[in-house]
Amino acid sequence: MVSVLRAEGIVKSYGEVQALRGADLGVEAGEVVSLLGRNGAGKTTLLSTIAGLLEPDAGTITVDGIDVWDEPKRAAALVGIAPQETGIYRAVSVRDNLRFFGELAGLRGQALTRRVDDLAEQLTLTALLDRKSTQLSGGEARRLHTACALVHQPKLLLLDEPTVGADVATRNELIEVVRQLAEAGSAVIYTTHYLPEVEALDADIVIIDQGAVLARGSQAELIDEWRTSGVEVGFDRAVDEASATQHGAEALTSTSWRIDAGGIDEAVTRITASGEIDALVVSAEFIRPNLERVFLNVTGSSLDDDAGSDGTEAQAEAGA
Amino acid sequence: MSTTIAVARHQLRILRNDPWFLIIMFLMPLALMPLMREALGINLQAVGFEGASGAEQVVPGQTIMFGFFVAGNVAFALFREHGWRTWDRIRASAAAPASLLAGFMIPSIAIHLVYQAVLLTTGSLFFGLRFNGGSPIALLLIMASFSFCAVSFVLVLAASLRTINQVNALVNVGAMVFGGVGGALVPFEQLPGWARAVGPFTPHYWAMEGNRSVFLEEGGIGDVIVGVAIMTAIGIAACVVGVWRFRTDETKEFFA
Repeated sequence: MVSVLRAEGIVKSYGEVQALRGADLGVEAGEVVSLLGRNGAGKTTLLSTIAGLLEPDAGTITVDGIDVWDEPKRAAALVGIAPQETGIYRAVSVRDNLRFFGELAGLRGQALTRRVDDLAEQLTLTALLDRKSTQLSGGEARRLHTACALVHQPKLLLLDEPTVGADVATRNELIEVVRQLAEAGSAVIYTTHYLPEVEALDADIVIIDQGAVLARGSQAELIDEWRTSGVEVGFDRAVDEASATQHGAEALTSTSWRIDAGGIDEAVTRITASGEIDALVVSAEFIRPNLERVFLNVTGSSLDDDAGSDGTEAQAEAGA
Repeated sequence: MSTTIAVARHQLRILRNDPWFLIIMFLMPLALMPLMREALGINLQAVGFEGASGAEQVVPGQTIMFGFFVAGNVAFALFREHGWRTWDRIRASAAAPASLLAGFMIPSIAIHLVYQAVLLTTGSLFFGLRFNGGSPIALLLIMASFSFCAVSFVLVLAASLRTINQVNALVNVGAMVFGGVGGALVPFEQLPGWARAVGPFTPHYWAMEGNRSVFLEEGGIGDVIVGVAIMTAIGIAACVVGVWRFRTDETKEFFA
């Protein structure tokens, strides 16, 4: 496989806030990488630095061997970015939007016309080509937004939360397009915090939190490496944490344990059989290994938990 | 160059799809011209231009004053990119700031030039504006230098200010104040002394002087060349400051 992106030791701060803390990321040709992280984890900042929109404080980024900051024009020709917020020209038609971004990338004449037609077909925009963009639905606008990043057939495609606001059909179409692009040899970085999308993409997953890449692998590899299985039990009162070890359990809190057991019945039996626990089991849940659990184990917090968000993404938007 | 052409062409596409700003800017001076022509004819005669109809003052005056609003379109186009969230997409092409700005400025200058030509032609057809021996080439030089100067001036505002409301406010003030002290509303000779003292520091004054020279004094290229040179110099200086001051990574607020 040919390396398309090499980002090493990327550091970026906004004043006192460190948005990226030495993030590393590599993507090969034909590979889809799903950047998974909470809001504020640094996903958008990382994409902005790769796209040349935001200069990092430290680190190097090369696209197809070309340094993004030493040769921005050459590198830009290889990168397509669809930012998080829909960015299209509302006053003109779908065709004119696509033509403009094609012209900006240096496409002209028949080549441009052919490319616009092909892309429209690929993203089911053909019937909408002469429609003014103000008349598009949210999903259609989102498809156009993504299409604008593809006009020049970039080697590296950066999609920042591409399905935000999209309906199910659009979401599925976009995922299919991403798959096709990868099959055609493009490298794709796809940020999201929707786990079903990550699973549907069957991509390599990169977990990013607080500006650093914490884990990477396929879904199966990550689950294998980071899973916790067993049963979580809850007590009606505080239980001596030391006795958890004696029962082959791990104390999660003063009133909950995790027991490495094959099922709920087995776990409850092991706790109650000793007769040493002076508390009632009031809840028991079998923990299935899944990505959500992996994310929790890697980062220490849930994907839906924005408490760790430091607002750096918003600053990235402003800075970029 | 390809970036400049692509951006310029696209700006014209956008304008073609949404021309209402230009239409209104065309209709407003046309509505004022017949209302003010006769009174301004009397004013011109009072300052020594025997036989003036008033069209020689009102048509160029309104064209120049409203033309400054039209020049504001270059700022509107730049800020609109931020409102539509397309600015970062353009930036991602790694185009040089000067190429990008040229793509916004060139269509604005061309539109400004056409705007002046259409209003002056309409003034000639319906309000009695005549060359009376003046040079059309001299007029063309005045129009071109004023268009360049006005758009460059607005570029400085767009590069320096953060919100479109700030730009609009200053463009409006600039159009009215520069137009007023530059002699676009009433003959320059009838302005108070303080206004006549500051008038020559505005491009509007030189544009009006040139127009009056052509339409009232049989002026040729030699008669307007100083004004053309001054407006061109102001335009170049503004253009340099605008490009120097412009930061592609600076956030602009379209609705604020």
